[in-house]
Amino acid sequence: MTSKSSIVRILLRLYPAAWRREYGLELEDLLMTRALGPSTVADVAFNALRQRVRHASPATLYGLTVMSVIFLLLTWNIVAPPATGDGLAAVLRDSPMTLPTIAIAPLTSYYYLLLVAAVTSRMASRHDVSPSQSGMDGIRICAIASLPIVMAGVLMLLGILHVEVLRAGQSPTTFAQHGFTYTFYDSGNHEFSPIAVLIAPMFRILESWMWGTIGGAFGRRGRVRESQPAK
Amino acid sequence: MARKPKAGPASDPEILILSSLASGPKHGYAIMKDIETFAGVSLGPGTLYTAITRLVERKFVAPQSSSGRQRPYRLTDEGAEGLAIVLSDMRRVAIVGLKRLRPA
Repeated sequence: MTSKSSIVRILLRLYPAAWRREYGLELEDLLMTRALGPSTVADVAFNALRQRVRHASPATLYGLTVMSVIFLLLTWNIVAPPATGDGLAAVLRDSPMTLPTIAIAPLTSYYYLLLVAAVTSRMASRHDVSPSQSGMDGIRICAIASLPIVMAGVLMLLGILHVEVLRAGQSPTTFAQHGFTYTFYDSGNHEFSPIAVLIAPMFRILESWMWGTIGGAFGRRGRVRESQPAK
Repeated sequence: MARKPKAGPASDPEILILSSLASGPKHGYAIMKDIETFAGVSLGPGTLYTAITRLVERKFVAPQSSSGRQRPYRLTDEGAEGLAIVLSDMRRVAIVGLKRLRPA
């Protein structure tokens, strides 16, 4: 296999499988007939991303949206740590519960749970989706949204992302002073641990599944009602 | 006055592809070459197939069966109608714009 055909194969793998089945052979043939310059590679890769977005389910898209928000908040915490532990950028919080010991602020909010229910309800009202599938969509939103937390936990375990634990009355240091460091506010409930960060998203799965199922059942009920003939 | 269809061609690559197929069925490579000749526009392969995907979904073009790897595409009646409406709109705007550009 030549290097050109290898690059073409890699580029085609960027497209969704359903799209590849329909147009893959044609695009492969077209790419093999022309020079593979940077502009062609960029054009194909960008359009593969567009196809991915077009083929993605609403659950995936909303999961990616929440993931982006969490990623931005984590970055905000590193670059400009919040003055107190209840600011938006305090993503990881000392949980008052026994388990999990770390609470992920955006995923424990009512807004997030309402979003999961609203998305799965909308999906079920438009398509024939069973409540159990809606529950799985809720889990998908949670899993995708949690990726930056898992990534932060791994970086903390590897010692790449440092953690500055602040207790009541202590002020955060600036980015110039602490570098690549996450600022955590200790409420005195638990000792901070990177493992706790890593497993914290698992404790959101059940609630996401539950709200996904409820939303799906609600949307499905509306769909059934609409499909019944008026008396 | 005829109304523009809701799902009409909205962007240049789509209009260019429909205009190319107005002269007869072509496969992807032939469409690219034809557009380069008549419009001087070089469409990237990714852009070309994204536009073809949209046009097929809207039933403005349809693939024809072929024994080779490249399937030819043909303009459908809906596609021809949509293209005619868009090009008429463009011509009307172009005529007015050119007239206004002329010095008094």
